[in-house]
Amino acid sequence: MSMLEARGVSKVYETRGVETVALREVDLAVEGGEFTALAGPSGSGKTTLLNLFGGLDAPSEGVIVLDGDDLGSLTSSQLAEERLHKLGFVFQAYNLIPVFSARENVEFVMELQGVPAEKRRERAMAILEEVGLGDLADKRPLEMSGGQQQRVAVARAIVSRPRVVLADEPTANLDSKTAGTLLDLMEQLNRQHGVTFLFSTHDPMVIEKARRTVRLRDGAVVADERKPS
Amino acid sequence: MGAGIWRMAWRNIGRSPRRTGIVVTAVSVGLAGVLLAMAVNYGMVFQMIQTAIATELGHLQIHGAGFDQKPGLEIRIEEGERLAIDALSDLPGLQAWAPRIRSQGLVFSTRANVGVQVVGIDPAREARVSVLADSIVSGEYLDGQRRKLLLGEKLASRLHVGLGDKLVLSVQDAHGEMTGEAFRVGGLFRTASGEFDRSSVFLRIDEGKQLFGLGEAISELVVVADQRRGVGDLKRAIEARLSEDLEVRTWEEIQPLLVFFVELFEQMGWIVYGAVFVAMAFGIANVLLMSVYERIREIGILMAIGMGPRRMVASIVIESVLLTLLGVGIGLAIGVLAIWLLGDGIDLSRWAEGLTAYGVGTKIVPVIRSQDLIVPTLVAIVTAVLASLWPALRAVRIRPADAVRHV
Repeated sequence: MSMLEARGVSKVYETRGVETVALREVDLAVEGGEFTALAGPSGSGKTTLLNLFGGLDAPSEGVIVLDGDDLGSLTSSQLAEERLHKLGFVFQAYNLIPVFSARENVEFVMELQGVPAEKRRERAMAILEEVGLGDLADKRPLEMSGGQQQRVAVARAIVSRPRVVLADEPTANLDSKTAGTLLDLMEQLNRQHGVTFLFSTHDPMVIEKARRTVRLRDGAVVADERKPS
Repeated sequence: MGAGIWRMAWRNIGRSPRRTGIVVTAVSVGLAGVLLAMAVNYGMVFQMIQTAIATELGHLQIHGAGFDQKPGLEIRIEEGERLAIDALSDLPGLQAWAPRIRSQGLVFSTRANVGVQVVGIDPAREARVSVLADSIVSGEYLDGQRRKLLLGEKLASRLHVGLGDKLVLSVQDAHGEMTGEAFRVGGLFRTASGEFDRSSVFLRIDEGKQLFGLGEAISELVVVADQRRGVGDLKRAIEARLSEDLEVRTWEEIQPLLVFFVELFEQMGWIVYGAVFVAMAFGIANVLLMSVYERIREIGILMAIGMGPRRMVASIVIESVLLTLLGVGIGLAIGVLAIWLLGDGIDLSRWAEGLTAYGVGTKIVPVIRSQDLIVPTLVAIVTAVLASLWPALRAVRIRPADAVRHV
């Protein structure tokens, strides 16, 4: 059973009566532990597909399956539970809750999961140390650089050991050095903890790092390349 | 809800100090104003009740059965004072009692005559159930004075008499015969009730019995309880000791108009509170809606990390409640402070004539009750919850995919 699966997925947006096809009958399966990039130019449907995998949006046609669960059959509350327990998200920017410190941002997911206060504090500090931000645990997002914020977002995404981390253009707003450091971190977490990573990106650095690259063009999968392990 | 959601809601309040300040100011000023208005209103009502109890009513009155339908000398309490000594002396919760004779009469001076309520009192006992003895502004109370009358300043003015002047009291006695006797003005009183001061004449009860030909009968017994709250229990205790041909009535039963006034003021207070809270609700809803629109992306992030619709609604409701409670806390503090500063009373002597017509003195002391603090707080919380539901529902209807893209 695949960790993520899109079966015949299409997505059509309608704005003022004008229909825009974002995805056309996409079939894609991502196995557990993969480090995969969805690549393609702007408007190719990468982010749309990522959002569908994350249950943030619903397909116009087709089925999205996450760890065996058909997301289309779930209510909004069940989808939230699915995201809470199985998924981690990293967005391009402004990932964090600005009124929380780095530690509180990381802890919040665990609090939603019902992890006891002492345990979640301990785990939040451990993961922040792991991403190299132990010293900045009490800083709020506005007191941190973009790269530091992204690292906190990664820490938040993986702290509760999700099955999959969905990262939408995680390096887009970072300089190449910071982007490289972040990618190394995510790869390390993938290898150490077996977390599945799925990126949407057009950053060559991410594509180079990914062990599998699925190329999209005009809403359709045009290539699926795997690097030899 | 976890501490994180409370913390987030609390900190969100501080994100837009100006907007929060406007809502908190509106809520607090509105609430403080209403609280003060309610306290002054209730102070007036409280004074009306106190005046009525302290001048005429007492907490309880005992009459012959049917007196309320046909007040007069036909219905009386035979051997009333002895009965009171036997039945009331050792009753728990009873502070004092006094006998009275009460009938209509005409009082004549050399220049005018006025229809009055003639009341015979036991001076010593009366002093323990009413403010009459303390309300003497010239002359003396009836202690030791014979053939003297006490009358209100206003009545004396209508009769054009002063201390020591002669008056003739003309009444119908218990046998239906017209009779009259001459008295002198022994003292003038002034209470908070203009009507009482204009219409009442007091004489000693023994002279009243003689004037009305009542023998040992009296019209009524006035009873004052230790505490107003204990009046109901005291009434039942007295009823248990009296024969069925006597009836005991509370001040509310004797003067239902006063109860109506209390209820009227309560209703008016609720209308004012209602207006304030409706305005408050719109203010809160507006602020929260703006706050939600400014935080669409953040809401999307929260949804993405697994915050479900129930928690999302809760976080916005909590934010609304905290914002409101901040305003309520400040509003109640300002209100209580203002009431405390006005603790010596608000001087309304400019409107003395109008106020005394309703049994209200010229100085109103605002009265704050615990319910005036508790009820607005609870209503404010309910208002905050209701006002936040619209913004909260708007927040959960945002599509997560749109929200996370929002800039």
